[in-house]
Amino acid sequence: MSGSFDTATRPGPAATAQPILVDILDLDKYYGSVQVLHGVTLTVRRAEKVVICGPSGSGKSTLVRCINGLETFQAGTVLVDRTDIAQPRELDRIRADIGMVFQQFNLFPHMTVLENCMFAPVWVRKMSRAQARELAMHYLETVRIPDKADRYPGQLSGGQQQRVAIARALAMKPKLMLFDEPTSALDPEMVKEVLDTLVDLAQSGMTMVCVTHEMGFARQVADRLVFMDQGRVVEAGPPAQIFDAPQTDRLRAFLSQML
Amino acid sequence: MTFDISAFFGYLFNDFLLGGVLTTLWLTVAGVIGGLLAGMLIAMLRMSPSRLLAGFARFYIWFFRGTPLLIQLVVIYTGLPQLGVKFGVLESALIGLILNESAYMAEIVRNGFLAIPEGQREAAWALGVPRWLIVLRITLPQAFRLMIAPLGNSVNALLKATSLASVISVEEVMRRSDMLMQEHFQVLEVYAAAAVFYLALTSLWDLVQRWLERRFSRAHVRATPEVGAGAPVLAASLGRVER
Ligand SMILES: Nc1ncnc2c1ncn2[C@@H]1O[C@H](COP(=O)(O)OP(=O)(O)OP(=O)(O)O)[C@@H](O)[C@H]1O
Ligand SMILES: [Mg+2]
Repeated sequence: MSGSFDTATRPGPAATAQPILVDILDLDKYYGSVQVLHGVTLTVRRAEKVVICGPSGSGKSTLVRCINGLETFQAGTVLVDRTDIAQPRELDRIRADIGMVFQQFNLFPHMTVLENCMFAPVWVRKMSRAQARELAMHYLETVRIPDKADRYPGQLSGGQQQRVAIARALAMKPKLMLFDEPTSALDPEMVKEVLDTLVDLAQSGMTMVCVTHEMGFARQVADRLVFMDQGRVVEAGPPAQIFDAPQTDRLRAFLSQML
Repeated sequence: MTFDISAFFGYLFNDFLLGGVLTTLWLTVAGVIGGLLAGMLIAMLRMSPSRLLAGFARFYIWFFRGTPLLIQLVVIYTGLPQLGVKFGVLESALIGLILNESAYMAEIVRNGFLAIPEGQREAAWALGVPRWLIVLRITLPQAFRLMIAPLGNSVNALLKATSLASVISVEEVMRRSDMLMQEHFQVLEVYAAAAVFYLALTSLWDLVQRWLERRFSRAHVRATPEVGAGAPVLAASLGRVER
């Protein structure tokens, strides 16, 4: 591996010793009159890797998008690093510290790969262009794609685009990374290159919340697996417990479908 | 009677007519710029969450697209003084052209913005980019690319529509052609020359439009995803415009 993910915090000796980074309490979310999150409570500690799984429509994306304020909610609180995400004044500042990777990559098509990665460091972090370029190149090396720096997103494969999206988020040096099904839009042969990148990132000590159907990946990197169904957290625990000793019929049914 | 070729060429190089061409040109440029700026404002109102503002914008667009430019010009120049509001000839022409053009531009701008996937805005929000900067650097440049073709049509139409300003005695190409015609009665020769001027101007705009298209579609090459050594294929397709 050429570059390295240098995250501020390395994984501590015991996960519980780490401070809480994301604190979600009793979250209710409605779309119109339809309730899609029912009293969801979830905490994520620094350097922890939480994988969220569950059937389609169970509210996984909605939950993750509530963490960086892409969705509003009707009841409950979301604290990120002790700051209330529902404070509109703070929102841009908090978002700058939370990286997000989308299913559809959402790279800016009119900017080169390098410009994509430099944009927020320059405009939000007020970094000099030279500094931002260096930083962007560092993370492009980390995701092993520095040779594509001057290409436009439309010229890259899906896997390459997703790795650029990860580099773009990392260039903001986020405290936390959110992933919403980062490999679901990829052709099968490209899934691995993105998962490998995520594994590297996890090993660097980054705090990660990841929605995914990749159960092998979940087993490998997750400290905690959260199973959601119909807008509720049904079960949560270490992968071994979730996979090998599911407590509810719903989880058992879900797991039997996944395998 | 025959077509007097030398008279026709004479009109092509007639300083009086060429002066009219300049007037047509700057009326068009001012109409486009003013129309685009006002159109963006109207488009923003139209997309605003406020029902009142959106309603106003909707009315504005409906009204100015739904009435002939000719009536708008006549009303502004000769009608409004009746209410005590007086504008000069050129002012009236400019106001009319900009009001009319901005209604079309507003719809073009709005359609451009509506075509940008929500994911673009979300990705920028997630990076902590403030809203005004998202419009300026993320959505507007992408929307502009989509706007170039309809904008091109609109500019072409405006260029020719400036001839209507002759009715309120703005001395652009059409008006000056009328004046020459009344002096020399060489109807075909004068208007053929005028037509040539309009053709030259619209052709010039075609060139500008094509340049804009190339300039803004550079980034949107939809190359086949690279597999192994696909570089030469990519390079060859670099000039292609995504449809
Ligand atoms: N913009 C919206 N308007 C109305 N309902 C919505 C909207 N977005 C999502 N929903 C509904 O909210 C529920 C949760 O959706 P969400 O996208 O969070 O599910 P998910 O677990 O991410 O599903 P998937 O695995 O398909 O991505 C679903 O029932 C969905 O239909
Ligand atoms: Mg989802």
